[in-house]
Amino acid sequence: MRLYVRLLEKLIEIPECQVAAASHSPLRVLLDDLGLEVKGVEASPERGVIYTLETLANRGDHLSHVGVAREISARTLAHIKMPPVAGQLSDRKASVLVRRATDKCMRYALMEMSIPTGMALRNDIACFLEEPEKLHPIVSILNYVQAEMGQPMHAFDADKVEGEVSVELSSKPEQVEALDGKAYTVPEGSILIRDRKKILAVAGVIGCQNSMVTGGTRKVLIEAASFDPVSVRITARAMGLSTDASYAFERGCDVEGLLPALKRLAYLAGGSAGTAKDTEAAHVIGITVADGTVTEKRKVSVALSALRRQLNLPRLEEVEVVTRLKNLGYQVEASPAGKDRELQIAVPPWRLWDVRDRDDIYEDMARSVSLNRVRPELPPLDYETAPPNSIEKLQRVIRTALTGSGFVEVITPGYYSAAEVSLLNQLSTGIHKRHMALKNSLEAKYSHMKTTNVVNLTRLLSANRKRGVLAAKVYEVGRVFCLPEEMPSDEPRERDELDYNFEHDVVSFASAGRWFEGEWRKPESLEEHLRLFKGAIAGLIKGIGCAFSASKSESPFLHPGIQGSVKCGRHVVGVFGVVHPLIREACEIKEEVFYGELDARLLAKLMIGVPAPEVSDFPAVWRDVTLKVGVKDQAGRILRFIHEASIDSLSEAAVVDDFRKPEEEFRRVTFRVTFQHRERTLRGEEVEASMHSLIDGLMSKHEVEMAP
Amino acid sequence: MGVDLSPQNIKELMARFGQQLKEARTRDDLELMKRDWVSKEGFVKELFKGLRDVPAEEKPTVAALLNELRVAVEEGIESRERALRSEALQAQLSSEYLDVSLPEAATGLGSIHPISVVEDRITEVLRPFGFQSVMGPEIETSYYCFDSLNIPKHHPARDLQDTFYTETGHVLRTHSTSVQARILQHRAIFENCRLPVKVASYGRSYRNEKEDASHTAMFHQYELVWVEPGLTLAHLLGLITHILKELYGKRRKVRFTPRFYPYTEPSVGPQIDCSVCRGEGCPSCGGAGWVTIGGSGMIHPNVLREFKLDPEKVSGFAFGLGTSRLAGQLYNLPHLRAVYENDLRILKEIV
Repeated sequence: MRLYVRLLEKLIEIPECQVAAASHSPLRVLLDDLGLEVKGVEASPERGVIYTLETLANRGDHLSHVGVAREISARTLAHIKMPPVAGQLSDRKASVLVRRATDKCMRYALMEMSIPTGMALRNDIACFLEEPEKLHPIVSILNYVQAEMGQPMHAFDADKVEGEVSVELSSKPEQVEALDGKAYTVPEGSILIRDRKKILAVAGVIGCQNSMVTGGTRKVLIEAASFDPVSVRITARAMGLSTDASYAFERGCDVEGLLPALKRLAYLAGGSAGTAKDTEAAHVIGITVADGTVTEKRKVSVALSALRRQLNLPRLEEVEVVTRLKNLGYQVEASPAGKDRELQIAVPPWRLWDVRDRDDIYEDMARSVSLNRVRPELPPLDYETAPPNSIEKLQRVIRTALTGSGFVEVITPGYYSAAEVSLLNQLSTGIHKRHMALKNSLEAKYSHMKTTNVVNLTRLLSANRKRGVLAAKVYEVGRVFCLPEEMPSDEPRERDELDYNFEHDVVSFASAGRWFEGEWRKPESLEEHLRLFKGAIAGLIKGIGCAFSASKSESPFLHPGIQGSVKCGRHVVGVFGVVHPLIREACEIKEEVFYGELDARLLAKLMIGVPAPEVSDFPAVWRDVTLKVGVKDQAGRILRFIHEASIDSLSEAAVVDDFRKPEEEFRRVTFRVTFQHRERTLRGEEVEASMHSLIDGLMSKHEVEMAP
Repeated sequence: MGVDLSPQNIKELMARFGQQLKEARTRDDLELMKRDWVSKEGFVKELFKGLRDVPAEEKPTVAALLNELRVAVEEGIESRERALRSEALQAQLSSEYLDVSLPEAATGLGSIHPISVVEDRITEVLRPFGFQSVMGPEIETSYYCFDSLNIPKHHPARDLQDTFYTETGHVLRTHSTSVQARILQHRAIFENCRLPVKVASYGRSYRNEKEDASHTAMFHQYELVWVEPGLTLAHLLGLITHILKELYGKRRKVRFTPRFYPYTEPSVGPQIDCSVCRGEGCPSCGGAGWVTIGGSGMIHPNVLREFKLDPEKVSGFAFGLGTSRLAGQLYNLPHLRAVYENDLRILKEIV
């Protein structure tokens, strides 16, 4: 809403608002404090200060200067000087009949006026309108009255109206040519203003060309009405249109504001305002009002003590409360003096849309005394401190493990574009095809919810490498989404924590460029980078108290030959590896990208906390053994066998070398097996016996051979 | 042949030892001297063996001289050994050099995202109040996102929340208040409306908006709901003020402005003075000098009724703080997009 400060000054005494200091004027501070947020400021010596206000969605009454003046009056206790109106409109009825055929129109009035040929707009009105020269003066005055008092009105050329005017609901979609020159389809069920032959206006939204006021118009029918907000809103939305009138009606207008607005119009357009010559003045011929239901007389009762408690203002005087409420337009009666005074508060007709019970009165009082006068009070502490939830616990471990390895936490969108969907669909026939589409995205880049984070993280790394980040390592704890095979019920049910219908929590992490920072250092080889990346995962899994291992995997978005599943104990919790070249290419990154994605819900379930390890004070003894391992076989499989072998004194096993001679068709992998007894020093023969047993087992179960 | 244990000879030996020690330049020289003088077959041992042939009356004198010789030899060798070791170390140290001004080789510490930092800090501030932290779905039904929260289908308030609709007829939650609805419903259906309800939840929300410097289609909120008899607007303002002062320090100004949210009444918009311009007005705060950091209010009676709570007996409040905004203010980020741009050069430095 555009608030003309000079117009406001005519209605109420206001705080200072100089053109030169409009951005920080006391008036602006006051408006912000009243919830009339100033979103724009224009200031010029000619027109004074004009503020663009963002008003509250439930306050149609704020869309007028009188409405704003009421709020100021409740705050400053200054009196409002209501604009002068014509005393008596007319005893005669308008020359057209009015039929109100729907309750979606609560009240409808048509005022017939004669328009003189030389009608001119007064300067003191024109200065508060935008481009008034483009409109007929009578229309400009309607707009002015709406800005002043909040009642939207419309003018028909009376000579173009044929027969009775009816207000009714459309029984089918209708085509109209509106005042803006465009054709619209009006949906079934809309409120229409019709004459005997045609549609004159879409009620509360826009008038039609066929009855438009022009320079040749000599007689007008001024419509002032009260329409159902929801109905107007549905129609305006369906037409893809938002006009000043529809905006106001949707938020609720004064159901008794019709006649005062018409009187004001008659005053300004007629000679009563004193500046127009009689020959230039419009005159009221007659008026017809079709009343609907009687305006509800709503009352709300509020206990003063409860109000004081809400605001934490124990000394708030009754007289102050009553005065402020009256200035807002309420009628207030106090119950007889007693322990707890109750106020019976009658709601004004322009607030019937939003004031229903005592909480609304609390809100009005908080606003009028200022929320910043309410004394904040800390609620009571609780000695039963709730523990963190499982994702929070997991996040702590993840942060320790990954930030310690140089990973930076990022946040990527939950969606991506159709291009990404098509890319992933090329690679996968499984779960990643089950994308959930968004029906109404404003931008193509968010058309589907992501089923994996690989694309978003790869793209992010690509952008950062281009920015010159040498070692780009990132992680995210977030959600991925997918359509389940069967549509789940939305009925409430008892759920496990993190149990959702279409989404699950994942930990994703990725790395590109170097692992270690520093340009001078030789970049890591692919293999070395993979091991470092895997080391970060191992740290994470160990952090949640589980044994980490990796085995074969078949993730469609990773390089088929450089990927593995992440195992947490016996559970597969995710995958890691090098991102598939097609994804890399789509994300415009030339170098290899390492990526891992883990199921956070599963990790959270498996998280047991890390107990203090049991250590031995006796010496550790180790033996190395070099075995032949197939070129595309996994040494981790052998390592796992060693770990799981039932040898009491076995304390650790690790790969210490992986070597392949160019002429050989196998790799030589050296395993170091460490033995240590908790209660005594091991004897050499015990160690040898254990090693033999281990190697026999490996040879028989895994068909491995000792390397020559 | 007996050894000559005459004082004269012992003195000569001592002088000879002194001369040899002086000439010993290397550890090898010293090893030879050790062999000659202090080993089992060395001069000193040999001299002591000869002591048994010395007449009894001369023995004390000769023994004293021999002891003097032994001590001189042992100490001399040890001292020379120390000196040689020290010289060698000095020589080694002075020959070794690495340019420590060259860059380090480190992975460097990573960092936690500013939004996570804010979430963690608020959670810590709230812990003494006994809040349970829960998560909720991002893909919601319109019941939890709108209908149960007193937002009827055609209310203008739905304009505030340009909603993403999925092909399944669900919505992407437009605010984390949907978690509040789920919690209250759960209490109503499965826990006989157990009170108090003290729940915090944080995460992503979505608005179907075109992206620019100050708008993103995804943003983060920290939602809190507290339902218990006796809670007031003053409690709500008190808790929000407490959180903001804990986050930004006692000197940061906090104010409240009226707002409208269908699910709260009264509704309040908490604001802090802009960290970029300190309240002077700048592009990042739209010239106002203040930044709205969320929405809050007393839970609307209709919402309480929806979840079988009697507004005459209990009251509650809720707020949804914009964690992206809070993070922007904490780190002086000039616009909201900066929080989501994921520029690692910034993220690594600011936390």
